Amino acid sequence: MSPLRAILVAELRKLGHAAAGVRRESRLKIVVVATGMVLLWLVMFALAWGSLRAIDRFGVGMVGDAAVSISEVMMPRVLGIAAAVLQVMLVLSCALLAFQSYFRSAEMRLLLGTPVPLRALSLAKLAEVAFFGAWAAAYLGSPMLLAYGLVRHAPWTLYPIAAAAFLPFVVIPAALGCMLALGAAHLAPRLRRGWLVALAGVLVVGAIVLLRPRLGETRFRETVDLGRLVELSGRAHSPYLPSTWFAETLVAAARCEGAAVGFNLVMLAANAAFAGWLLGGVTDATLLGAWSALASAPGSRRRARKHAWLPRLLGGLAPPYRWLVVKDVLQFARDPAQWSQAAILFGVLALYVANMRTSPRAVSAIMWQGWITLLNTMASLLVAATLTTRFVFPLISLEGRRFWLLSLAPLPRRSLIWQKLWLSTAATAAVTGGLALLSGWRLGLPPVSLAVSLLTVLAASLGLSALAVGLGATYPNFREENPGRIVSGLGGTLCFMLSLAYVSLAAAAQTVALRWSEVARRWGLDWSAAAGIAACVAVVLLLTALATWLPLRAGIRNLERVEV
Amino acid sequence: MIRIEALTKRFGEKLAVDRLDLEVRAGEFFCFLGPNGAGKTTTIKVLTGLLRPTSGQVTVGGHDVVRKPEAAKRLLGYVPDMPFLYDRLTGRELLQLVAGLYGLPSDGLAERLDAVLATFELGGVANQLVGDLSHGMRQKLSFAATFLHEPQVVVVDEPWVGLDPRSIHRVKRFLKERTRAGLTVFMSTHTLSIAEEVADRIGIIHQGRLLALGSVDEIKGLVEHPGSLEEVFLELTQEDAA
Repeated sequence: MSPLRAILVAELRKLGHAAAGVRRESRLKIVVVATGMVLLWLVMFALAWGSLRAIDRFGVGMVGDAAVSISEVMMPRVLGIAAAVLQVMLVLSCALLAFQSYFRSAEMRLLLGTPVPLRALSLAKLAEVAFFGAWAAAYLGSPMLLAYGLVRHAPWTLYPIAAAAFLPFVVIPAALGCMLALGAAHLAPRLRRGWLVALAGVLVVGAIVLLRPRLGETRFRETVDLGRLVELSGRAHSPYLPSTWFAETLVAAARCEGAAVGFNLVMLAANAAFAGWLLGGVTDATLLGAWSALASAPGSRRRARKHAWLPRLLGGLAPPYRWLVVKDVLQFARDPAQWSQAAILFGVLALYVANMRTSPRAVSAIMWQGWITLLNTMASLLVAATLTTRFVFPLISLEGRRFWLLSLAPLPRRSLIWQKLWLSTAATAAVTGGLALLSGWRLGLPPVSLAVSLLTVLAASLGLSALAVGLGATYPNFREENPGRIVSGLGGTLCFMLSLAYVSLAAAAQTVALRWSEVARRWGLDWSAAAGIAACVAVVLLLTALATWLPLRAGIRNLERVEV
Repeated sequence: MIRIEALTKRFGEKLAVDRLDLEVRAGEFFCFLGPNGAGKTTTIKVLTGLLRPTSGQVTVGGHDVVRKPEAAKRLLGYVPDMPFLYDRLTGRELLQLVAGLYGLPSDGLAERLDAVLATFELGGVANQLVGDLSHGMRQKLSFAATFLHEPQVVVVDEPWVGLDPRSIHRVKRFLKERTRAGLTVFMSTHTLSIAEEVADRIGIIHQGRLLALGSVDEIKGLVEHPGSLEEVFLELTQEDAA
């Protein structure tokens, strides 16, 4: 058996054991997660189908002086943009997965001690990273594919062709992600901190310079500017991008154009093969050096001294809680895999706020005003749900093999849950409350809308934190050290599903109340408007109370029973 | 100081500890011996409150470890076989965390940390991240964390892995001196020569049952031809030839 085959067989066996482990999970958890995933898939399908059908029915439109078939022009571009977004997500997630897999997994210590050729190792890592990246891409992309097939009345051959194109489509970003991880691990330990800060500064300034001309534009319009739409969508449809080849493969398959299908498939396959070959070379050249450089990074006396202010800042807390908070904060701040993902999330948030240029007052229809307000609250709540699921849910599991140390302390185990709940609530409220205020100010929301939005977001910080801490304690995974993998398990998926359900209900309550109050005010019924707002507040608080109490009770019960 | 009565622990169908009765007096150095899978670590984990007994009772200083865990834990210190600690804290920060968990007063804490770090020769690495330390250094840090709150009972599970001979000698001497000052030590080990050297009494567990209990000489007297403790151990714990 070749080394590559041996590694792949072992990886498959690991997957088999993990799949078998699902049978040992609680049925309730499996049913809730499966139902949630199906519902989410259906929502994505409905959105994709509605959008593609609207484009398909557009017919001929005037772009400048020319008559253009909007459907023919826009359909491949919409598919291409969706594919491009998936590929960007894949590159980032694969880079993180690859870093963990190359430099943080116990298996690598074993593999590097054996005479496995590094090129074989690179292919094994590529297969692993592509596999883990692919299932999420398939889940997110399949509603769009099916919707496209149905809208265009495509033949059945579209789906096997799409599956064939999907493999190289995933391999390309996976290989890029692996190379990014290897490059970062190769360069970062060699660069002084000052150089790294300067590099980050150059990237940020570059992004601002590139984006600045577009920040002044107002994108939201109540009437559609076809020429502008066609021009903007064309920017993402470059013939040099794999996402374009993938989209063109689907379009050609739907039209039964065999030659175009073959050409685009060959483009994808050839580039995937080249990316794999290139990754082999990069691995050969950098892996051992990067491994050694990371392992021999100097200790961090300076960092330790720098953080001495933290316990002083928390001086008002009782000692056990103070030091538990210090521990959680330092563990997070010193884990590049954690803070780098937080940095990416905050970068996306910054773009979101920078892109807000449409005030509800700038549009005339009440419907649009309501939608903009709702979307703003939803954005803040979704950020909170993402933050708590990604960073709070794994907190109990991350105690892992060190849980013995906390279990030995003369503290009730429930105090650990309270400490994590308040830490998470404070951090989430600071981020999402700030975001709600900032975005509300940028959008020029009316004071009542802003106040209700802020209250919803602050209440949700408590509810979502309780969900994440409670479910994290109910379904801990003490064997896994990688927070990303802890979150991607059944418990993490359940947490995200329930967080989404809570967020949707809270946002729906707010929308109904605001619409009610708007209509009531127009009819001169001020008391009814106030009652609508009060009802919204009551519903949000009730939902929050339920989302706080139920998971915390389950979490405390489980944590007090759990054996280490 | 430690009283184990009819302790049974099952993991599903597997019986790990079977009706174990044992008492360890204050100031005693007790060594717990047994082959792999005999039930030593399970007993220790029940004793420290990390596992719950299927039946039976364990008390430390008169406090039931299940019913009054916090009172029992105030008296206990535990050094595990694998020193899993917080890799992204420095040694000093880890000790500050432990001091916080045990509610030690802030006054004089810095001096106390320095003293315990010096005892285990960790002063030079106290400000390094735990993840950067060698296995032996982490093991010594476990000892330092254990003795920070001055426990009355210390439970040690196979502590010698990764320690250099000088450190082994130092830790051995330290534990022995502390037992003379009233500390109770409950130590599980496979290093029979050390057990023979330091133990006041020895217990040998095999397949979840206590096979032998007594001083080194009493244990040696249990076999027909007494030799070293190693020979006696091998004879007592040999599997039935089936």
